[in-house]
Amino acid sequence: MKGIKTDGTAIQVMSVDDSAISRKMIKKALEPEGFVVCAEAGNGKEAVELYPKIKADVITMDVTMPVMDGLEAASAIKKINPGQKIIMLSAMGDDDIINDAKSRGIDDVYCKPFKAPELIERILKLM
Amino acid sequence: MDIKHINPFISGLLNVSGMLGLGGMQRTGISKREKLQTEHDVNIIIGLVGGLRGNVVFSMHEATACNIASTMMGGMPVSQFDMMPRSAICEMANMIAGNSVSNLEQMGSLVDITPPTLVSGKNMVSLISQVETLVVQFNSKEGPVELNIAIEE
Amino acid sequence: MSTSHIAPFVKSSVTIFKDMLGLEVKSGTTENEGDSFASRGFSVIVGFTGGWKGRFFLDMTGATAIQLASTLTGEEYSSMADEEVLLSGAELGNIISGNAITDINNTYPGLNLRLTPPSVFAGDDLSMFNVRLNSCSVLIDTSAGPIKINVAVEEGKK
Repeated sequence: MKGIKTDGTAIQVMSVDDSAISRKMIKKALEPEGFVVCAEAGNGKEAVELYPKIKADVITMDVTMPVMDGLEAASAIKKINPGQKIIMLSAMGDDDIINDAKSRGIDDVYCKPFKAPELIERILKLM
Repeated sequence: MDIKHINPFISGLLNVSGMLGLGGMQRTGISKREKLQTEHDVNIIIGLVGGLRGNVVFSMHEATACNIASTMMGGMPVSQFDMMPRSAICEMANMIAGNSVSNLEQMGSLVDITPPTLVSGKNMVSLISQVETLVVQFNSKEGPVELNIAIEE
Repeated sequence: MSTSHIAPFVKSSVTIFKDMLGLEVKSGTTENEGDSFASRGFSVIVGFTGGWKGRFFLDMTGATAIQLASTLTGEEYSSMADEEVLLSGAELGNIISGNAITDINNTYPGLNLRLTPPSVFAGDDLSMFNVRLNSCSVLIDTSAGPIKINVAVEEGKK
């Protein structure tokens, strides 16, 4: 199972998206391969507040969210822990967004709709 | 949702109602939208983009829509919710949205609005947005009107 | 109304139907629809503004909506009025329009189209009316049932 590390523990993923359906789809894509979605947040502010209380190997982060968007939240989390791996999942894949993400040190931008096998590969690449 | 972003829409509706000669439009309540069912068969949706992003939906019964259209057309009787009252109601929604946007501009918030779309039907459920929706209730001589506001902030 | 407005939305829809929902898809012809149309019962609506101002609709029967929702979440639903069916419709509207707008913005720099959040309406005798907008429709035949793509844009814009 791709979501299990060599030491037998599961890869922990935090899922941040304002769409409950999107978060469900991420769980559906990752859990069968042994990943554990250890935390979820519905907007960037919730994600930043929750972050110090959890331990995630990778964060999947939507871009367009209310209160605080994903790019802002990713920057804030990187400030707390520059080594935190973050993948942006975005329905809008403008060059502007991709360049913005790069300039914030975000590790990957993957455009929605995501394909489960590719999402898994991209997460594993960051590990 | 910040009340300072809702007030411009409340003012917008009251201002335009006054301009159109609607009977004594006043706000009767404000609450969170709890359920998806709506018994309002006429809904006009206007989208917001820019300083604020979200959706605003005016909802009412068909009878109220016909009464409002009638008042807008100088008291001409409107018995069917056909093309003329539909256009009239959309124009009203557009005016309210435009007025609200001006109010927002005065507060320093630049907002762009989409053209209005009228959705009508029976036994409807609606999801205005994926974020919390507030419902502001109004009443007038023509009937009750609801202003549903869902703004991402 | 030029059919070039609807093309990116159709392209995006077909891609998502195939890749995300695993549907078999046969695209129909583009038709001018005028300012109103009768819904099949379940309609997802996304507005856009910027260089073009208008609306994008995904319209289908309740049965199709339920099927699409089940594909996304892996769960069963008995009614199109179920919150998760509405949310699934919204998510599809979000992704399809997001992809289409990215395509359009990258093709026409400076157009700067922005999207409203999606809204979803479902019911009986449902009809849509866009005042003063003409629209184009493409009916897409899918293995989950027919799905109509409709794009209405304000006259006088590109």
